[in-house]
Amino acid sequence: MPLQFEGLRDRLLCGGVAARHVTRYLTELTEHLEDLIAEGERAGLDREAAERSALSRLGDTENLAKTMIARRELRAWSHRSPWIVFLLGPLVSLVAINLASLVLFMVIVDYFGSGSAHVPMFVPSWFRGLYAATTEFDLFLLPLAVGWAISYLAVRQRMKPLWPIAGLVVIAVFCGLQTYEIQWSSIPNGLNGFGASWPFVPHGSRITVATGCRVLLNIGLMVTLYSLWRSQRLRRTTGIRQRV
Amino acid sequence: MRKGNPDFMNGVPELLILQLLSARDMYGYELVQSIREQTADAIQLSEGVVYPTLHALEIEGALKSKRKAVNGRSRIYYSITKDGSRKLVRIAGAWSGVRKAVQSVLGGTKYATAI
Repeated sequence: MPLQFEGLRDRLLCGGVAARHVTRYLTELTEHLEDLIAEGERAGLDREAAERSALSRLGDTENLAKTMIARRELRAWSHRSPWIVFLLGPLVSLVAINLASLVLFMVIVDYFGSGSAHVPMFVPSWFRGLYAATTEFDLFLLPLAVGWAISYLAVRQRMKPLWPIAGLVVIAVFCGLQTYEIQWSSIPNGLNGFGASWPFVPHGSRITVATGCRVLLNIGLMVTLYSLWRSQRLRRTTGIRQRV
Repeated sequence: MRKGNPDFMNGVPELLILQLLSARDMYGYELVQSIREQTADAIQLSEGVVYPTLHALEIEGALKSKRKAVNGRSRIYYSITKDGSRKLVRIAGAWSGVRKAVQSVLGGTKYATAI
């Protein structure tokens, strides 16, 4: 792909055009350029002159970018509604995964648990391991995975840092302060309680040193990784602009 | 560099693209060439206009695209859909109305000047 089109890619992404349309547009323009060069060569120009003529016919970056940027239907959701992509979407995903984890615990206890009117509930021995693994995943790895997804979208779409960082902080706080609870019934055949809790919900869990540290660790890791990724992209973009 | 067309061309790229694609499937370069040839260079739609219009029409459901290999080269071909054909009839009718209206004003002016 010609270097000019790399500059065009950045211009389009910064202008809010969705990445899939940018990729397709650049592929089509590259093929179009090849056709224009072939046309020039058929007209008797040598390869170099045909290339110059073809690039001149296509026009400059701004000329190629303005209609793409002006068309609202080609814009990325991250530019149209950043609060949905970077705040609401990740939060809803996290809540859904938390609910799925709780439903999984309930189904396992209901299906594999044993108990009678005289004997309290017993669960299989492997349940403790599964519970620990699932909650560790939800509390430690999931925020990092969601943070990675936010950073990827933000860097790919050349977003300004405000919304991505807001999203990362909210995810870090949401997952860092979260606790899972199981209350086993002491009564034979009694109801067991499964739940997730946060300090900001009524009768929720309290902020402890451990949860506070988790929040800070999440924020530190996610924002640092995002900032490094973003600055690497900015350096690359600046390099391309200088070469163009 | 190719010169763009003036502002009153709004809606014309859609009309021309749909009309050309109603005859046969084409890829971007073919469309640009066909428009130039069929309008005797009176309308020169730049690539910066044609491709965004194609993408927008595809999102709208008026076109669909498919990668096809022809003569050893792979290209993205566009074809018109049923929705696209209906849209073509609608905007061609609207364009025809505008053309008649503009013509009558231009004709009227001429007539008034003659008097």
